[in-house]
Amino acid sequence: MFIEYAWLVLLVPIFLSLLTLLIGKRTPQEGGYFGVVGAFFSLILSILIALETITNNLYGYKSVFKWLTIGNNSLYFSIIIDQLSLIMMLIVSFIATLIMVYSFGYMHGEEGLPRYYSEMLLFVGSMLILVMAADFLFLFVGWELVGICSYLLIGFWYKRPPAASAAKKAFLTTRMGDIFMLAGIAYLYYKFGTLDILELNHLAPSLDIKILTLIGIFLFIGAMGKSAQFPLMAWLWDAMEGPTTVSAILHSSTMVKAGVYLVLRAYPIISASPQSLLFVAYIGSFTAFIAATMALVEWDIKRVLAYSTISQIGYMMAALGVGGYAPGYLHLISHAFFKALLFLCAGSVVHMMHEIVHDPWLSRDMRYMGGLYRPMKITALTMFIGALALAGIFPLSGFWSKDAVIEAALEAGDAVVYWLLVVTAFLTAFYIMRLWFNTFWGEFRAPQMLKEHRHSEVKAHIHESPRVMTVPLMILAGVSVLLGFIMPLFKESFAEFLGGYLEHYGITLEHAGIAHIKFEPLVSGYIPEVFPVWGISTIFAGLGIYVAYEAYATKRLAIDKLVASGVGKVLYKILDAKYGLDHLYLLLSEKFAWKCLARAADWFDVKVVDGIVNGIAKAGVLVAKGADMFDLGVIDGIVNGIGISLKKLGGWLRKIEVGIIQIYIMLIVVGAIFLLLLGFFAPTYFSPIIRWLGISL
Amino acid sequence: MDLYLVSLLTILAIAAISAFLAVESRELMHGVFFLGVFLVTMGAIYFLLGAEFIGVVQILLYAGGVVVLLIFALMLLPRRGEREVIYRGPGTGIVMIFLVLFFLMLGKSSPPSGAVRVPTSLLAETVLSQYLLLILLLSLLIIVILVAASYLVGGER
Amino acid sequence: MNETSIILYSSIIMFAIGLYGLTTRRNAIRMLISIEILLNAANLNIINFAHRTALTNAMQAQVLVLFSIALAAIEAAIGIGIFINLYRIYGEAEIDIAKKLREV
Repeated sequence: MFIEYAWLVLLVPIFLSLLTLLIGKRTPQEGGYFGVVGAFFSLILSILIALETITNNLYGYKSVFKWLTIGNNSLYFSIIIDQLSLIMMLIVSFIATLIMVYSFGYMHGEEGLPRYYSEMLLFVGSMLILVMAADFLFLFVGWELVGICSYLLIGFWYKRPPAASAAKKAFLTTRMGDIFMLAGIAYLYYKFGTLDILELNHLAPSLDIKILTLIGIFLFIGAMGKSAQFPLMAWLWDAMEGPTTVSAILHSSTMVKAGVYLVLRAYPIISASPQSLLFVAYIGSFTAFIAATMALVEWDIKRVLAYSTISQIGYMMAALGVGGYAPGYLHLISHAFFKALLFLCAGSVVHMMHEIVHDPWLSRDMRYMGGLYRPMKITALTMFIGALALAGIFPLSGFWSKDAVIEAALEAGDAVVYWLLVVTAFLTAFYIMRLWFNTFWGEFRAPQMLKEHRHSEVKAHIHESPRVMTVPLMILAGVSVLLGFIMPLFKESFAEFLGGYLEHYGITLEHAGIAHIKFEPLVSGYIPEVFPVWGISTIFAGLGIYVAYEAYATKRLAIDKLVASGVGKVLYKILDAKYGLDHLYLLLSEKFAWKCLARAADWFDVKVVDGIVNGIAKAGVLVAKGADMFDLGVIDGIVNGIGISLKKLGGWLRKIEVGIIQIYIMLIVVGAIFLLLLGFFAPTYFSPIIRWLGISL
Repeated sequence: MDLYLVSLLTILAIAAISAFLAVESRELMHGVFFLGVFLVTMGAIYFLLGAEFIGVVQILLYAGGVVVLLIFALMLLPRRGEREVIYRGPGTGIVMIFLVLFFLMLGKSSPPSGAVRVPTSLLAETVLSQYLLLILLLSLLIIVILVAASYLVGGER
Repeated sequence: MNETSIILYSSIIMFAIGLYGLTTRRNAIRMLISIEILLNAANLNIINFAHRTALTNAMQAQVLVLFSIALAAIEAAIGIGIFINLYRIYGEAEIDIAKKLREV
């Protein structure tokens, strides 16, 4: 019963988004309630649909909406309720609800709030479109819509130049990826005549392996754009210019997962070619590694989390690449919760710091923080839980999901992937604990830093955030812990659950949720099979935490000295410059795109297009002249000639008109007599005529 | 000579004389009256010739309509008396030529024989079936003429 | 000389009378009378011959005469209208007054 209203899950937020835009100003909280209601409604409906689907085994429920029919073809939007979409629906709506509530406190007093809530609601609706879509067209619609919402929300404070340019960068970078994805989709449509994902999953693997690889890679490039994998990742750390709530929902737990979701959905297509799988796995693991390295030297609290997001999504992609279908999805789920938690905690801190420091950049700078444990206990504790989950410490959710990923890598047997992921685990633990220690341990450094750098005076007004903000934090922390207990128990059934989706396409999930696909490792060997997986990850994570502790808590390890000279300095400089990616982007866009392309387009426009237009105009003038000559000479000549001749004829005939009626009568009679005479004297000639006249009478 | 011929000749004589008098009488009013006599005589002849319907129409329309019309017209026009006729010469000449020619031609042909009487019912049938369109056009024409005549006389309102 | 011939000659004479009146007289009403005489003579001739021919032809002839009578009546009416106008403009009802072919 509830499942028939599935469309409402995505329609209600969109509708409320429009409503908020129109009348939000006049409602209390300026549209905030609309936001909460919209997200909450989707949540409740999703829960009800989920319960109904599970109990009645309604997986694969599909609803098609035809919106344009031309002859035999029609364009349609379709949604499907199955294992994949249910989980995402629940996650998206749940986290969205919490963040809407959190926004009450965080965005309090900002200007343009109805716009904010409207855009947030639109995002929720668009994300739901994306996850519920059953055909590539609708998915693409959702894909683009979330891109637009990302642009709008990152640039929420559009009056700040960094925010505006960050929004632009985000949109353009994801667009680059979208082009490839669109090419892949278009090819599939051209080849198979359908855009339905489920059908294409059946049909596509029958393509030639080379084309299939290309298609798989193209689709994945779209995912790379949206999920910020190398090299399309530079937009995500600049996206932190937007409000922290936006970062929490879009850029940590939901939108950036869209790429992963695409791979999950189209897995039969992508996994049919070992080369594309290799591509996915390597890009994923490579991204995971370098993003983690960049987080080591970053002082902006939100940027660290951004790099972390990139890195963790790399884990998911790597998992999917090596065939770890269930591990990949598992990590997606757990990461969504603890990353949202981490961002919201960071937001709590930043919100408070902003009151003290006033500068938007400096309020995110960890060098100005410190010692915030005592005044902000709830934030500190929940963030600690989130940090441990990210680091992958037993018994939190992150431990189980990250371990599943590494286990999948182990099974697959590719050394590069495996070691990259393992080392990244160490780096992850290190940078997240670095973040935590710098924020909450030690002394509050802001007053001293401000004095040193000659900023304005500080009012030492450190306080915990309001309950609207801390309660979601606690809920999310609780969920992370809870998942930590649930996950090991339900790992098997989860694998079975997901397997139900892949079964249709002949892919079976084995014991660890790893798909039975052909993954050919590039570099095999060098993998120690001695230790169990949890041992490896725990060792590396623990090491990371320890090093961070020594470096930032007890200050026994002098990190500063390490990076001040020699190799350390070089490394530091490289990492700080983010491997020059930002510079590369700037170069590409400014130098190449603007100057060369723009010049070429301009030349083309002036020479070719204008040439054609002028040529047509000249031809038109010639034709007009010819027509004019013809008109004047020939036609006017004829007309005038007729007139003149008629005039002459008239002048001639005028002589008959006398005006005296008796003359007319005479003429009539004379005429009649004349006819009589004719008839009398030459009847043979005229009798036929007369007879004919007589007959016609 | 039987009665039929005698009566026929009498009627024809009356017709011819009244026609002549209609044209030649000095007073216009007399002329119109003589025209009336002439027309009624014609009607009588039509009856003799087996065309009863036509005869009736003749008397109704011509003698009843046209003559009345002419009388009304006479009342509207001044009676100043006709001036002296000027064109007798050419007119008489023309008529003489005409008569001569006609009688010459008649000498060459012989009239047909056999008597036919057209019953009115048959005529009506024919008119209303074959010539229906013409009748309708005629009535349309009459209407138009009515309007035109009233306008001509000065009915601009 | 049978009946048809008599009537034929009579109609010719009447036609001649009408023609004479038409060409000779100047008064408008007189001319109208003459025209009526002309038309009647012609009709008489037609009926005369129709009396002697086959039925269908006779019927056609009588229809012709019917139309002729109607049209003659119509034309008399119009003629009178014109003559009245003529009188209004010129003050007289003589035909040869209106000789100029342009506006008065």
